Amino acid sequence: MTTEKYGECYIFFERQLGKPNKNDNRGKDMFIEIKDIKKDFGTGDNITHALKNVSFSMDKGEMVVLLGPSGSGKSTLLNIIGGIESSDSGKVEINGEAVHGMSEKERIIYRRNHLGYVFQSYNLIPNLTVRENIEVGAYLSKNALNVGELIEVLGLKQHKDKIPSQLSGGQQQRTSIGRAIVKNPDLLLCDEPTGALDSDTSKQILELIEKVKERYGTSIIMVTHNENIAGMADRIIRLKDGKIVSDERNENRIKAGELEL
Amino acid sequence: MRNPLYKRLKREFVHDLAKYIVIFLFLALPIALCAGYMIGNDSMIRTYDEAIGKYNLEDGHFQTMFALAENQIADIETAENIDVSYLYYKEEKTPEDHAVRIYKSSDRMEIDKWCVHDGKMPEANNEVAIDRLYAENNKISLDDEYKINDKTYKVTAVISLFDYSCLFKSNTDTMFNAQTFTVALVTDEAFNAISDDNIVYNYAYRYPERLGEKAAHTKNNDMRKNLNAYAHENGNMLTDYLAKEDNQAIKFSINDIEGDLTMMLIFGILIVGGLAFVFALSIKSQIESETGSIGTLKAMGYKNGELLAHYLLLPMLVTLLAGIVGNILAYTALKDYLVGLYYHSYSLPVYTTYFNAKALVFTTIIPLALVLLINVFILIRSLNIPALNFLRGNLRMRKDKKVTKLNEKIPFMTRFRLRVISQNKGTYIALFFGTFFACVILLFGLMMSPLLSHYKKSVIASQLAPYQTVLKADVPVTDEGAEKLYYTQLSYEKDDVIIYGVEKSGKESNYLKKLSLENGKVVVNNSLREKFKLKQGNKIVLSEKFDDKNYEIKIGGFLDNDGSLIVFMSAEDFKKTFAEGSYLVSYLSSEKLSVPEAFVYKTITIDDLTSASDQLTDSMGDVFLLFTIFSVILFVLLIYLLAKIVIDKNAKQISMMKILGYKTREINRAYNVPTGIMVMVSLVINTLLSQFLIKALWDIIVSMRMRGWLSCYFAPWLFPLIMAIGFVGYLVVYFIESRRISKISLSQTLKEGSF
Repeated sequence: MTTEKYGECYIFFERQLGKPNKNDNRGKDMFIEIKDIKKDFGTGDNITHALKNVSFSMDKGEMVVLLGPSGSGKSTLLNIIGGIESSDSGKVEINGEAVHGMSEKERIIYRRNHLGYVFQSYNLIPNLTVRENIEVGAYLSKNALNVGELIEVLGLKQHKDKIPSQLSGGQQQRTSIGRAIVKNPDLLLCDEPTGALDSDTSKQILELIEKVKERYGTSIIMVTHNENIAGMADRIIRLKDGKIVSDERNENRIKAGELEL
Repeated sequence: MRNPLYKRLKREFVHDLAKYIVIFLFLALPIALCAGYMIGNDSMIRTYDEAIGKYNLEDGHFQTMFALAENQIADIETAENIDVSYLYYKEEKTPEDHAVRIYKSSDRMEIDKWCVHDGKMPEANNEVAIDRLYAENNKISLDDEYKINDKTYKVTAVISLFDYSCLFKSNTDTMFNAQTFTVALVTDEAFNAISDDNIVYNYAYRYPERLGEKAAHTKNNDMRKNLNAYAHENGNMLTDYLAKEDNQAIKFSINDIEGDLTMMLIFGILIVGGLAFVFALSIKSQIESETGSIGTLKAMGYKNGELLAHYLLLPMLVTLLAGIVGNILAYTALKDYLVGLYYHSYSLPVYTTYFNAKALVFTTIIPLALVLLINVFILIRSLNIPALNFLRGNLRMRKDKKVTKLNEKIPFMTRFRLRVISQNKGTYIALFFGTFFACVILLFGLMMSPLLSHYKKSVIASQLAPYQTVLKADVPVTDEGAEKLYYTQLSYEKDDVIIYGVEKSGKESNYLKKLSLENGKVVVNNSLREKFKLKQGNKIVLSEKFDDKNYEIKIGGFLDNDGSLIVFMSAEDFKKTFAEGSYLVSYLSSEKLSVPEAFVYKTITIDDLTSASDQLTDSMGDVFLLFTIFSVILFVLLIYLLAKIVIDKNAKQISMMKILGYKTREINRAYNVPTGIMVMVSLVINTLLSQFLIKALWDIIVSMRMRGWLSCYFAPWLFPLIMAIGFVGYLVVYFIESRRISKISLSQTLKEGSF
């Protein structure tokens, strides 16, 4: 799978969305602002400070990798940005909308309209076929991509009528990405998307994510503990024990296909 | 070392408390009902058996048109080797038109003795003892005044007579009647003071020793013929002969009690079996959500048996607890309530409660065994999957299994629901059977009241004439408009059938306008046709009640008439068929016949015809209500349990859908609506199926256990009502499950299935 496949992918995205809009602000404005986020788990002696005054901002169209070892708080931060968990204090603003002040109903609408999610464990609906799993995402959008064509681009055409238990890990993750991008989200949140895959399949998945970003200008936040994956990011934010220890623009950004995994 | 997994049982119990409480209640209540019935019924059956000796129950009785002389009784005693006792009675009326069958208390010192429930037996001529149930139904208390004919008595005792444990006025009645019929005991003087106009020469007999059923049958059969012949030879007529075994007043109650027990045990086993299945489905869904942990344990070396034991322990404990609580409930609250239901229908003697070891075993061991067997059978397959499949969260053994392809043109949400239905086939099959069970009980509970009203209306509409009088002799009747019918009773398959020889029918008759008769043609009424599924041209053989004579008749037509089982033939045919002296004469009239009472054998009034439905409404009203309430609760709890399984099984997916941005309303449409669709589909099919089942059971039960015929009738509004009840029940569950969906946390999706 490669270049040829991604060529197809490009044509597909162009057909679906038209040529890139010169007035598209994506990639130019500050998109996400996170300030003084704190999150504790447990109480008393068993308290764990998962996030300690974490702050950073991110522009539209940027790809940020949150890098850190287990327990560094990166997934918790991703979940707070995605409105899955709430912070104990601090603020999260996306496109000027304060996520931290939203009610549960407003968060649903926020996730529905702006976010796409990719998890390490795929979280596909086991009794739905590949096509139907992708349609789960398409159902939420008024401007969803054409599911049939997307399936082809994802290389899942011959598997479209299979259920997740009949697929390999890579095929399942591709389905999961398909479900996330079919609704054309502003922000794609990826939590260790290659954590359960072998290196070849991982590379294919990362290339797919990279193409999505390039073509749509989709902002992406990816959580990983793998230093090598961070090489494809625009920015790398390192976390340790709930704190940001470095926040650097990646000047030596390399293509996903060239990563050594 | 003890299996460390047991430590999570408490947490598991608390976590799923609602489910366990519902299943516990579901188990405990039927167990309590079954145990209560077993204890109550067994105690009553033992009391009944003991009462046969204690109250010197007759082995049978016979009645003659005229009194037998003492030497004739002695002849009969010698010839038949029986002890005959006088048990004359007089059938009188109260101002409310209730029938009172009055006996001398002195006649019942040796045979068919009384049982006093309250008060003391009459000593003065103005004192009377009446039946306990009749008194209860008519709110008559001790020391109340009670008027029979024109005389006022004081009620000094409420009693039961064992030969009237069920108040059948006549053995041919469709149903007993404790509303407007009672037996009464008075002193000799009080009895003699009542006119002899309505006296019945009734004689009870006992064999010197208790005979087995078969020996008694042969003996009774012979004696019936002998007595009939003896009465004829002596210018008398045998008007009734009834062996104990055929006497509804004696046997109906015990047959009912025994029959109810069988039904209750079947009901209990079905409920417990169904719940065991629900338990298994619930555990199966738990196993599916804990694949990672189970895979790890299996990889560590835990055996299937250990895991199975772990998953079975809570259901077994809940079942055991339900068995214990059910039995405690049975011995305390329920037994008296259930026995009370019988006492509200039957005039039974005072009973004693006996401890019932069989009930204890049946209601604890059998539920445990059922839960164990069904769960092991279903779960062993789920756990028998390799550890790796568990670790990968893939419990489908066959990778190549074809997935049903759904047309992509079908809207997405519809396909989603179809997938949910397909995913939960087992659950919905349980729902289907559970709903069927609930529908049968609900339909039965709801149908009886309209059925009895309908029966009453059709019986009233079927009354041949406002007055129908059967005379002891063919005396001249000059009443204007009175129409003569010849009357006799024959037997057909244990049922009494009335045969009328009709002089005027069709246009010629004032009363039998719809009856089209001609010589050589026999018409049977609707009840007889329905009970024995007769068709035109069928031949049936009717037998003399007291003789071996048989009569074959060919059915030439039907008359739309409900109530007793009746055969109509022309008077000419009638007289050709039956020998003179073997039948009576009856008159239809619009006014009471002006014939002296002494010539009247009996008058059939509207009350006689409608007493069956009145009695059933009274004695079974509480039971119908109980059935309705129970089935609605059963229905709602069942939907709740099964809808919960569907939601629990998909909790992680629901959580994921929430992360994706699905609203609770949309998730409801995806996961709760399929349950609703299945509930409504099950309801539609099961309402129809339960109608067929009830109709079939009804025909069998009414044929076997009731004299006469009570047509099975479903009021048209029953079906919309059941649908509405089902829909409202589902809405309640929808609301509860909708709250559960809204409470499923988003972080659920981030967790791997773990203990």
